Amino acid sequence: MLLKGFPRKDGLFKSLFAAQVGGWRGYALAVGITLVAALIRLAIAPLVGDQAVFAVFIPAALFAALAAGPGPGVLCVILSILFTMVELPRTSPLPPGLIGIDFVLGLLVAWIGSALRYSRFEVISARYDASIQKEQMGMLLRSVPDAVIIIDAGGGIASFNAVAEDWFGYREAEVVGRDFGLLIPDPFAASQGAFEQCAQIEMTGGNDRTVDARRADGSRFPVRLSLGRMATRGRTYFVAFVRDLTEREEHRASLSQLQNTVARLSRLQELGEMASTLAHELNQPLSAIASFAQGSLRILRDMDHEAAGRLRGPLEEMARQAVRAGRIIHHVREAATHQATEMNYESLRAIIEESVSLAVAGGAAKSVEILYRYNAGADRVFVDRVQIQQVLINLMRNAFDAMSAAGRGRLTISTSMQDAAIAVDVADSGPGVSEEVASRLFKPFVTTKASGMGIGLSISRRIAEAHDGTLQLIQNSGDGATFRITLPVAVETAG
Amino acid sequence: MTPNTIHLVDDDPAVRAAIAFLLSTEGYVVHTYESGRAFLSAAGDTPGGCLVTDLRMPEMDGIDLLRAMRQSGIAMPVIVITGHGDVPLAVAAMKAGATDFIEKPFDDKTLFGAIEGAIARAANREPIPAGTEIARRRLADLSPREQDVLAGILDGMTNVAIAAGLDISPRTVEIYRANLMSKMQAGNLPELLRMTIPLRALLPALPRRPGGKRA
Repeated sequence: MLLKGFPRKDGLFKSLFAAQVGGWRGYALAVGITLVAALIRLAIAPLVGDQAVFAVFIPAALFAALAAGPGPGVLCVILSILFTMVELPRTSPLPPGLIGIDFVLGLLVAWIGSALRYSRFEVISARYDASIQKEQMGMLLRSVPDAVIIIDAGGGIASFNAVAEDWFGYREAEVVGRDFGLLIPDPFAASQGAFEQCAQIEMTGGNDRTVDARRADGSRFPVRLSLGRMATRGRTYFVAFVRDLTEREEHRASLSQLQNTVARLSRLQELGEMASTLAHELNQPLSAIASFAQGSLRILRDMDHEAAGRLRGPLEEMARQAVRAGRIIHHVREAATHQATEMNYESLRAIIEESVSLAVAGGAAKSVEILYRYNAGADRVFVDRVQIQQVLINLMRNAFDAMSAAGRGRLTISTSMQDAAIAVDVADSGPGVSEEVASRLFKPFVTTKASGMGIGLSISRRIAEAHDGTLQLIQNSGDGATFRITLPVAVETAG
Repeated sequence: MTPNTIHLVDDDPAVRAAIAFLLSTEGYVVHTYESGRAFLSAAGDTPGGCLVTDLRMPEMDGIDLLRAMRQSGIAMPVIVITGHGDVPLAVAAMKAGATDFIEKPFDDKTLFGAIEGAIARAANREPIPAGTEIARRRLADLSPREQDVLAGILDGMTNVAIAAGLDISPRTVEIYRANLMSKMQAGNLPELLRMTIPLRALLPALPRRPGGKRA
């Protein structure tokens, strides 16, 4: 039965009537009650004689219907009639009309009992719902990351959630009833009264303002205050949502520091990428020069001519210098690309979230909706966090640029397991990459942007490869492009 | 075809012409191809000789070419040309079946030495076991850490990956690397790889902390 085990605070009398019985027990109860009533009727027979034949059975039927429902109630009535007809010692026979009246009366009582039982149900479940609602409200208030304070019409504090307790350093019991101006002296401690001040702020549209809040120990901290009017049963309250700005200020500072690090690294890497590209490109003509010079030298070696003899030295030198130039370029490249990497075990999700906050900084993604699909199993990676962030930021900024023409778009970042590797997919809803560009996408100095060196993707791929991973364009159509970075699963070894 | 035939694959016309010119001065007959694919389709007509190919090429790179050759049963010594210091790629090429590799830009002696050595090895004229025995003795002189680093190099790992696997800094890896080169008496990386690739099984398995490996 639904209400089994429901806690009741009622007294003995109420709980007697609130007893709820179902199934065969109900019928057993009906039989039992009828028997008790019959015994009572037998016991009082010497006093009342033939009078009040049915009176004792009326409360029995009522109680059976109330406790166990209409079925047992009717059963009680039928048993009672049978008893009065068969067992009761009588001086004169019972008139059939009276039996009929008693039967109808009994049914009526059983019906009243059942109706009472039903309304009893209603009351209890309504009370139960209310208590759930209250509990949910409490949970909500506890889980809100803001301090939530309810201010009554007198400017006093009516409710104070757990976050508020934490930030202000008061227990709820200490502050309920005290003036709201205690918490935020300016402007609420003014003579006007906190409630009137709230009403005025709300009316003049100065809502959502930064104010100074005061803790129990007297120290102050900056908060963002929003007020909401709440009217219920003719009473008006204000709900104050208070957000601590201290943490946010710190967060902003660390974010800008992170941005600097990434920017600096990115400049260094661009330099390295340029040197590397130069090295590769210059190596080609240099090795051609060296080979031509060496080949010429071999031909001259066998010639017995004065000019040949004079050319030999310079040609040797030419070949040597070409090889030397190659070495110099190589060293420049080494120096430029040699950076201390800091490999650590990291949560991919944390890296992604930090990267998003960096990539959207500066308002590049105002009208872009960002969706995340995390695979919890694909999270632990062994990487240089800043470098992987740089790759992600680069991909996201490219995506934002691709979607900027349309004015709005959707960026989906998802993680997954791909064979033995962890993959991060960055998918945009832009126009995709043209065939012509796609074939050369990861080569340095390929760009579709007016500003930009076109080495972001080539650096990104090198970073992925340095992590024993890959970076690829895995999907490209008119509906958008998807880049995938794969990274090896971090295998932690002891020691 | 005589063993004096050289097949040269390079996508850069100037480099192709220069190397062909250099080879011709030594009396080699040179066939040039602008891509691996061009070589594969023509290889049937001119069997024998030695292949000299660039590694970094668009479309089909040197490693792909080596694999395709093995698949179509084209057997000839292969010398690959890499950019300077492109170790993982060089190791991958050696594993894919390259006989030797030289780094760009190279001098003529290196090129001719590599070609002669490759042709000699292909004809089984060089007593490999003797060279291997010397290398084996030198290998025993390496410290455990140097052996670890060498194992990493032979597995085609980057310095960063080796450093992570051994939990030391990439700088330290470079120092171990220089030391082991001199202990092995390897003048350059190809020499080191040639000596030690057959001995990989003697070295410890490198702990791969980041879990990554590039084969």
